[in-house]
Amino acid sequence: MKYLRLIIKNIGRNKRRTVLTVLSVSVSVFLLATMRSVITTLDSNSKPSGAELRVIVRRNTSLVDAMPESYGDKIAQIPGVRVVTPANWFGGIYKEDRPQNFFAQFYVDAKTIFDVQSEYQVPDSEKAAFQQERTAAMAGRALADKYHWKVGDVIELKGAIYPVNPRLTLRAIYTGPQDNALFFHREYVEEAMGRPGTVGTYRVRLDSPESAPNVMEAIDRMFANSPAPTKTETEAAFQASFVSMLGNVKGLIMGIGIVVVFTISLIAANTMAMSARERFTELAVMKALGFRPGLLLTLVLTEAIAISLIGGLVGALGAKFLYKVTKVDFFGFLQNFDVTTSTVIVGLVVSALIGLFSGGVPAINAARIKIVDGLRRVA
Amino acid sequence: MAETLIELARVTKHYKRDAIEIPVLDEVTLDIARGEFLALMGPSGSGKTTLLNLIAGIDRPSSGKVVVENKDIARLNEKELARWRARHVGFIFQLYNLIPVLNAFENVELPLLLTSLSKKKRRDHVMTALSVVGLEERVNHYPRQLSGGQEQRVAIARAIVTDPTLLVADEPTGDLDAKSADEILDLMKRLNEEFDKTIIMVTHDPHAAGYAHSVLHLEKGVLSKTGGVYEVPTAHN
Ligand SMILES: Nc1ncnc2c1ncn2[C@@H]1O[C@H](COP(=O)(O)OP(=O)(O)OP(=O)(O)O)[C@@H](O)[C@H]1O
Ligand SMILES: [Mg+2]
Repeated sequence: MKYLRLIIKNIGRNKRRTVLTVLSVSVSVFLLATMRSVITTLDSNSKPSGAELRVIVRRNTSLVDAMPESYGDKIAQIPGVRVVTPANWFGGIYKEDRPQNFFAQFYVDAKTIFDVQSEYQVPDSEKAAFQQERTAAMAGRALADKYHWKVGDVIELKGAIYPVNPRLTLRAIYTGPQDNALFFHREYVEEAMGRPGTVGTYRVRLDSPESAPNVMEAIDRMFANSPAPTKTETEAAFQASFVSMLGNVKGLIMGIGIVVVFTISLIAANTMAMSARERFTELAVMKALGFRPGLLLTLVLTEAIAISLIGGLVGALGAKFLYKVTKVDFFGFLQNFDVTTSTVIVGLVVSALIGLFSGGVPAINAARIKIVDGLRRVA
Repeated sequence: MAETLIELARVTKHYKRDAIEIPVLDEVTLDIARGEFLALMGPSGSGKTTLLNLIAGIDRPSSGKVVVENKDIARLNEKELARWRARHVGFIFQLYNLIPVLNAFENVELPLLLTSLSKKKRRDHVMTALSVVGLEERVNHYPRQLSGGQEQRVAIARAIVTDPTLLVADEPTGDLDAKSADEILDLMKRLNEEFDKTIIMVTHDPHAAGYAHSVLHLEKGVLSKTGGVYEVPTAHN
């Protein structure tokens, strides 16, 4: 486009002013991207993950201490509890003992684990295969991908806490949150160790998130005076309460975003108007030379949109990369905080709209200039 | 007498200010021949610029006809008029009115952007125009890096780059020292003689008017009685 040079040179005309406009747009788009990301992150984190329907029972002393198997049935009696399943942390070594080979390993009850971790998605055939075979294992998708495991592969673990070296066959791969763990049969380990009948944790599925406080209290009270007192925790207590607040927070965030963008638009509009006013005579001269109103309008508008889009690009991509690099999670409140592609696009569209808005009036004025008035101003 | 290029018939112009009509031009009738170099003189406020603007098609008469090359330009709509100006008129202003962010080359190229010429053709035309005004060495200079005389020469290059029939100049030397003014006037004379440009030049300076073939006096919107077109002795070379 032959007018490109003219537009670029006009953008560079008053560098300080252009830089300030770009900066103000980029800051506003940055804030907008941040706020929208808060919302999208909250949304994706608060998708029913099943966590709010779960409490975890462990010994009040340490994670290594265990509870008797008999607790399972007793917990199941408590009102509000739907299913109880035992899960032990195996903590074995895969291949060599190196930190990068560390991953979560649990031996569990292969039947009831799915009633508690109902968010895990497993093909029915794989689930059945995993449940039927005593030496079967199930891995999360991310974990399987990391080690290039396929269904049918043999996985050998070396016991570090327990004197057992399980030789497992991968029969199922699940997808879902926390898909980086390995599960295998409690039966297998118990048998190999001569049935000590100890349970590291009980995972308890509730009938509703609201019953969590009562159930937790009831469980711990039940075993308070036994030789193995318990401590029951929610997987995501605050997360659940957060979900209910979310509606209000969203409205507030949206409101702030709109105000910020509106303010910046006014500033940008003023800047554009100023720079167009200064060029009043020039625009009249161009018109005298034969530049038609529509062309002048296009040139001024393109300039405004370009300046604004540069700001938008800086702000949106800046937010994307800054949060990616710093891995901010806002003190744990916003796990996996991420500026999504759609947020980047929204930022660019908003910045283009700021440009359209700020350049609109000056562009129309430029198109409407009466040549003789524009020329008379100097003479 | 040569062929008539411009024909004004009973051209009247008035401006409205607060419901009061300010008369500026009063039934001006005038023929200008092709190839003419006409100086337009008169006191400040007499309507010289207004008359020039009407001829150049950047303003419209209140009544009367402005015919240029057999075309009644007062009847053209905005778009047609813009196209007409781009093809037929070259503008030279007192304050040069170059675009400060464009260098000499780009300033001269500006009117050519409106044509369908290729980039290479545009370049050829620009370089030709700059060499006519003797500034081919200054293509990359910005207006602020040029003297007033040089700026005006770039502006003249911009005015002739589309090879228009008519050049209109409103006090082209009004802001220049005597030496630069003479250079500009010499250049305009050359454009008139060598390149057959019809030139209408508004000026306050009798010395400048001396470069023209003929001088026309305007007084309160009326061409002066003694006026009409009269020959001045060519005092300069
Ligand atoms: N847009 C306008 N609105 C109102 N009055 C105007 C306008 N343009 C010109 N005039 C008036 O018309 C008259 C003639 O103006 P014009 O600019 O043609 O004079 P001029 O002969 O070129 O003067 P100068 O030598 O000072 O340039 C002046 O009285 C001026 O105030
Ligand atoms: Mg004037």
